[in-house]
Amino acid sequence: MPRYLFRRIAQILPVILALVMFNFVLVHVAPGDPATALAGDSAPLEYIEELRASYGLNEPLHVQLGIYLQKLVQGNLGYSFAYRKPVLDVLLSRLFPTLLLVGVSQLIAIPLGIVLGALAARHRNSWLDTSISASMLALYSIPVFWLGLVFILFFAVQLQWLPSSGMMGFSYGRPPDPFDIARHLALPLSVLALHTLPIYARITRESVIEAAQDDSITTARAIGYPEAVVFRRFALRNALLPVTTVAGLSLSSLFAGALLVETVFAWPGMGRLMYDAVSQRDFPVLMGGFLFTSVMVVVGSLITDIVYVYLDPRVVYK
Amino acid sequence: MNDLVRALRQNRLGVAGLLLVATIFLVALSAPLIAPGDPFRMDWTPFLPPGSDHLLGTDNIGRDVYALMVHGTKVSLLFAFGAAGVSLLMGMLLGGIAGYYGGLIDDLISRLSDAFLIIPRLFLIIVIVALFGSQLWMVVLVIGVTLWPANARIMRAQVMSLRERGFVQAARVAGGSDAAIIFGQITPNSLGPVLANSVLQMAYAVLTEASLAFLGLGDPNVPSWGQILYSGQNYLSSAPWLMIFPGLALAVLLLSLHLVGTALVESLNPKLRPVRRVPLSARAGAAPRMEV
Repeated sequence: MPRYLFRRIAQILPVILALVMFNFVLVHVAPGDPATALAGDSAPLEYIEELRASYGLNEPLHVQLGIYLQKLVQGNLGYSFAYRKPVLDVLLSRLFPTLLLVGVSQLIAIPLGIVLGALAARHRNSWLDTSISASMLALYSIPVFWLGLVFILFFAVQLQWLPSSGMMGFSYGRPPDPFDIARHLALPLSVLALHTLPIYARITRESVIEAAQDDSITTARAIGYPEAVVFRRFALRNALLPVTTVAGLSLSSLFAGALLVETVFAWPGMGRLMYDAVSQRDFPVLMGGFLFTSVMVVVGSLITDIVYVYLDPRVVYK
Repeated sequence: MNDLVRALRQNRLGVAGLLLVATIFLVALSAPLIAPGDPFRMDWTPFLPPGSDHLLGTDNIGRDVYALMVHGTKVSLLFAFGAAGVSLLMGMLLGGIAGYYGGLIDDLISRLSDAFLIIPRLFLIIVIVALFGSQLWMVVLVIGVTLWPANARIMRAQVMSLRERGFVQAARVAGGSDAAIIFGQITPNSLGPVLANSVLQMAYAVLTEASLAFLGLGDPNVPSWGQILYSGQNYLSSAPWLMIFPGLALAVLLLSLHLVGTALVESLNPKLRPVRRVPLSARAGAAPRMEV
């Protein structure tokens, strides 16, 4: 296991390095001056001159790359003039809201998706299967930002049940109220959970159906296990492995969904930050956010791989 | 290819999806007829609700939403076919090369596609569009380029399984060049799964275009559904029709592409193929026909 882990990390480092290189190349091939791309539109002229010197922008490219890498390793992702803070600080201050939104939504979506998918597979070709599969496909086809707008129109504007934007009400100096945050979280959370739900329901249904055609199921039936036991202990358990893989693979679409949901609901996470960075042309935050999210997704997929090994005793990694 | 057509015919939902896509295609083609003139002209009172004069109302600067929607169809379909087409070509070419030659080339292409599959695609596209601008064709190209790895993977697996088959060996013995074998023998026989996946990628491309436009990164010079949503989101309570119609149109187009794509993918996976209900009378007769 440690050797497998080591090898997987060794596979991931080139990907991260490639992402960094890609960011570097983008800065240089972008129209206009690399210094502007590094500084963002709101930076004053003196700062751009200073950047030119500190990033060695008059030096040959390989020297520039060296300086760029050195700064990154030191955790220096640049400085945002829109926020008057280092980019890393801006990103970290937005990390918790995003992780809260993404984490809790998946805590709901994954179990619910598995239950719905398993139900559909258990009663394959029945009205239950048809209605679950059809509603999941319909849900999957609704753009997540539109679902967000519909929810705002219905629950916030018409019914006025829940707030439509932000993370908490005004609370001058008082500590944040968890109940208030939960009220603000409710709508974006449901939308993001509904957005990812069909992915899990679908893959569970498919893999349960496939697992149910395995010889082990026939054997279990021949032994005389009741159908419910055969289903739970043999078909469903084997089918859960692909769900882990899919959860890992859909991390990037999960964060993409989070970006759109945060934008719609003005949820102060990293996605909303990137949206604001686009409209303010705050390139350091935009590119720093891209790099940061990518690394999170890459590391997240590594973690799902490791979970997979623990879940499936048959998988032996050399 | 014929398999795909046959598979689709057996799946009623798939046929329904295909009909819907065809209808949307017709709307796009006949846009100058059913919504003549410049869709961007601001000739009317802003915020007119849907009615007999303006079927879908007018927007915040006095443009006819119906005309914008009809002309927006073209952009969605351009992205569907353009980006999925770029991805299809790149995927078949790179996947074909990787699967046919194997070895170092295969390793290189496979690692590259692994990396592409893992990075957050939408974030990448946003960064590129924010830096380079949102000209229509460039965005089509960027989306296509981020989509190829899935196709390459499928193509690679197909080519690897076909490479050693008799008819390919025969072509090789007959002195066919690598290119002739890949494109003349292998490609036509491995098209099915790649095309099925491409239909799903068309949906992804449509959704990505709409998302970009919704984030304010669309090409401002062409009307698109996402763009109407982008301006409409600020008038949710006063002019909900600006939000409802383009969103519904998007959902219908995505749903129909998903129906077609899913029908194709399922038909290619024998384990997921719907169980055909054979009437008892037929069951008593001949044994089920083996399909070759």
